[in-house]
Amino acid sequence: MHVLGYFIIFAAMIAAFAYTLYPLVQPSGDMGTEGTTEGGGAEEEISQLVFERERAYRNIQDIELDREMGKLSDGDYKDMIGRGRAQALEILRRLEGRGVKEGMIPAHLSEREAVGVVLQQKGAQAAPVVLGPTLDEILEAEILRYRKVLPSKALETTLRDVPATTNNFCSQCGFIVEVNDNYCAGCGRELK
Amino acid sequence: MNVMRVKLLISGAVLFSAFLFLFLSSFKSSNLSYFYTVDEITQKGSSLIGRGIRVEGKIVPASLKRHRQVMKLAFRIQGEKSTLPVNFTGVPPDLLENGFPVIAEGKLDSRGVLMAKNLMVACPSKFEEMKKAGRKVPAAAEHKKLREHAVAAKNQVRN
Amino acid sequence: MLFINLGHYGLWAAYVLALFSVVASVWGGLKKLPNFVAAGRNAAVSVFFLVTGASVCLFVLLLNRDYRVEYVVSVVNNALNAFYRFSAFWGGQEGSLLLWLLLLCMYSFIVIQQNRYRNAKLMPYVTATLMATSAFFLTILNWVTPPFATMANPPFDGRGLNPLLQDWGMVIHPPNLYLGFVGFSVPFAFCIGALVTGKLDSEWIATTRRWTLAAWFFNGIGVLLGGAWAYRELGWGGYWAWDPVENASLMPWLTGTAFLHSVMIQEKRGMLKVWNVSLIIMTYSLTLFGTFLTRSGIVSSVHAFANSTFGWAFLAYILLSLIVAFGLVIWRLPLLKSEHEVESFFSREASFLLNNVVLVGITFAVFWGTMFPVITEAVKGVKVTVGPPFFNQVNVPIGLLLMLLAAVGPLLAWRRASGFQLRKNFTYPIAVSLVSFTVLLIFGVRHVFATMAFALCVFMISTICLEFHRGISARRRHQGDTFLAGAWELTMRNKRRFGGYIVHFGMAVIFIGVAASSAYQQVGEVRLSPGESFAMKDVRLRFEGIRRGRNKQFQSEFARLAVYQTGRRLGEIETERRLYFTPPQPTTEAGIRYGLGKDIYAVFSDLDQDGSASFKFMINPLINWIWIGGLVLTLGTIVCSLPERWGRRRRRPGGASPAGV
Repeated sequence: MHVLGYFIIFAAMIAAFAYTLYPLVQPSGDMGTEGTTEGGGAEEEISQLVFERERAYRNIQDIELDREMGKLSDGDYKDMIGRGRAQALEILRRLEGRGVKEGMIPAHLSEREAVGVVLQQKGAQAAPVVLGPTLDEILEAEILRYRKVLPSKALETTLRDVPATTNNFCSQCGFIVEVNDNYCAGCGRELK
Repeated sequence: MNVMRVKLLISGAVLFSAFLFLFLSSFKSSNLSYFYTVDEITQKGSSLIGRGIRVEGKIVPASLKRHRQVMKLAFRIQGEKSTLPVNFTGVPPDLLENGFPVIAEGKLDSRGVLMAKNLMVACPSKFEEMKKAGRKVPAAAEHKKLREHAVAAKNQVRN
Repeated sequence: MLFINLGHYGLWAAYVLALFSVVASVWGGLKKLPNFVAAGRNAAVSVFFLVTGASVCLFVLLLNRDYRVEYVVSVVNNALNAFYRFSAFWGGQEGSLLLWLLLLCMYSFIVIQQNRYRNAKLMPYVTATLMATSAFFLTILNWVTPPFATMANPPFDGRGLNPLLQDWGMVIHPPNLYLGFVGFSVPFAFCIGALVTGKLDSEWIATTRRWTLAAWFFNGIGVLLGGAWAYRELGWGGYWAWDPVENASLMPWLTGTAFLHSVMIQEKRGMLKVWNVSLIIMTYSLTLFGTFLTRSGIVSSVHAFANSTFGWAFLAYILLSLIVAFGLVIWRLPLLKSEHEVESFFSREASFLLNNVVLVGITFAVFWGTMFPVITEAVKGVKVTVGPPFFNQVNVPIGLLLMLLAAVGPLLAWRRASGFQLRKNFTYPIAVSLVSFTVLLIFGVRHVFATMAFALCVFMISTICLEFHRGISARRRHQGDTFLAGAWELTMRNKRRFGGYIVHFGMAVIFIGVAASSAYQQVGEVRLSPGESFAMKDVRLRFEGIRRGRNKQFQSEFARLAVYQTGRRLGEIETERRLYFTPPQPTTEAGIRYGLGKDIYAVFSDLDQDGSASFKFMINPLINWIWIGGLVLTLGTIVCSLPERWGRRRRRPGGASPAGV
């Protein structure tokens, strides 16, 4: 076989083994966002909670859908939506405990991007956005934003338990806004 | 143990028994097919009449007869020491030729002929056959044969 | 020579690196050493490149008809065209295994790239598991069936591809099926990772949801394609014979279906955790077992390649992985406790659980039916086989139960369905299906199982239509959507639910096709001279004549038949008998007139001196509904796999959209 042939084969083998063994000759900890180091633990948990939050919202959405399609009686609906919202609330509380406040994460981001935003903002010492509304209200706004809805007649039963007025979320898209904002950061609508 | 668990266990047991009954009862003799070699069938002879049988063997060269009537085949298959006559009604499977190994499935009739309902050709490539027999592929011999083939083909074209 | 050596050494290097990857990943994971984890990961990536390179080499060797390589000689010859030289890659033993390995390495590569910043705790073990499987295949490929083995005296011409494989169906069937089989390795790998790390909540399931769906899909389509091929190519007019190899491809799909459903229960209610890990372990083992069954010839069938030496290696690996995997399960049992219990028979949990039991039951029956000859041989010394009568006797009643569950399950609520819900959801569908059952009986459709199947499928379809109707109506009411826009938005906002409905719809169509074509097939065998006709019910076939043809590979005789229905000429079909030259073997190509209502199927043989021929004719009612159902299934699967936010309407200021509708 041609010398060039031998060379190609040799080069391929060397490349494969070199690439494989390269990390072993690196100093430890120089691996970027690996996740097996200590700091990775927190990222993992936030990622996990964000994932669970999406799941809780999906659950609520499913219940609402069933309600709209007339498959749930009033009693069933109240029971299930209450539990669903409590579950989502719990997750939001835990996220808050990790320094993740709702409203800091636009809904259109993927889970990975969301984690990225959180980390960025933790580093940047973001001031707490939410001052007034209770966690319950935040949840409601979050759900609205997640579903990209407006409050409507059909939802009056849902919203009955929630204080109707807060000044800290945009009434069009439900995004949490700062008290002093002129424009909504979520949909761009002019506030006030 | 609460009520629901008990109910689940009982219904599980009921379902399982029903399934088991269905499963085991399907192993009835009309569904079974015994796989014998040609020699075993020739030996056991009449004791196997009426039973579902499956047998494998090579078609004895030049024994393959296709009847004039509707899609009937008759041939003999080869065992170690004896051959077995087989009749088959239906479309012959692809790749069926003299010397090929086949698997026939059916019932033995009173004449000792296997009335096959099912015919399959098990056709490993020549190489794999040899490998199975543990022989090294005789490259030289193969080469020679194929060479002769090629030469003959070329001669044919020339003429 | 370059390509032969590159392929040969490439596979050996991949072998070493795969083993290294397993060791490094596990060590790195256990000892929390990111360097080792990264090295293991890089090794896996290198394996991917090396195996891809080796595969490319084999393609080149096949396309160039390089007869120095034994494998090339066994599957290619001079007369074979380029397309089939390409597909000859998986035409034989060695290439088939290399294809498995190639797909596995591709999947591993993608999984690694997808998870660079996620699942960090699990990934070392995921990589290790995927590489362990690869290492097994590389063991077989390097020690037992090397694709790049050379011949001492290269011949001038090869054996050629088995004529039965020279068909587009057989070209795409193996890659398709393998995409499914290999796909199940991914959720399995994540399951192992979850067991080792103890992270046994639903994240491993959610991460692999699309992988499982894709594997299930390709496996299912592979099964359907296999049936379609058998129908067109094998000339007996059927599509499923409960052949061991067919069964081998069906079993992982059955447990995969069960798994797809039961993980929903774990995600929603934290139940069935032990069941889920066991199911995916079983599915993975069944994919390997299916490959083993097909290759080892241990149960004789039409398809088997014959080689028993590596049968033992396969069995050993399957057993080893079962022991390791279930060992991990037993170790982690405390973490696998259910968070809730089944509260009512009329709940989605209960119906899914029953669905799982039914599917596993069918798998059990198919497995033991397939392995029966092996067992009886071991126990009694004589091989006893069971054929279609056995399998149909067991599986048809169970299949009917499955249809019922498929209709009922999606509509039951979680935990407990109230009387209100039951009435609302089932009144109309039950009424419709009872009516259709009666109508069928009146019109003479009396075959017990078929009629029940039809009624149950109508039930399934009615429940699905009712769901769509309700959802679309809600959108029209609240959004002012048109019907089509409403249907689109509804589906796009609830992809999993309505995609699942579409899949079930497809299954109903398939079941109808299967029931009709099995129960109401008509067969006729006759000898005809040119000009003579044969009639079955209102269809008449007239033998018009013979024409002949020839090409480099084979010579043919075509029998032309004119098709008449109630006196009107519909068209013509041609059925063909081919005689291949190298090696000399005859094959039949059926003449088929496809139709939505029925297929008219003809084969012939025994062309006589006087011009007459033997014909076998078949009428297969509704058989194409099976393939059409497969298309619907494909659509549903695509909908289920789409990204969450794809296809939804942009936010509309001032627009109101209640709930999830």
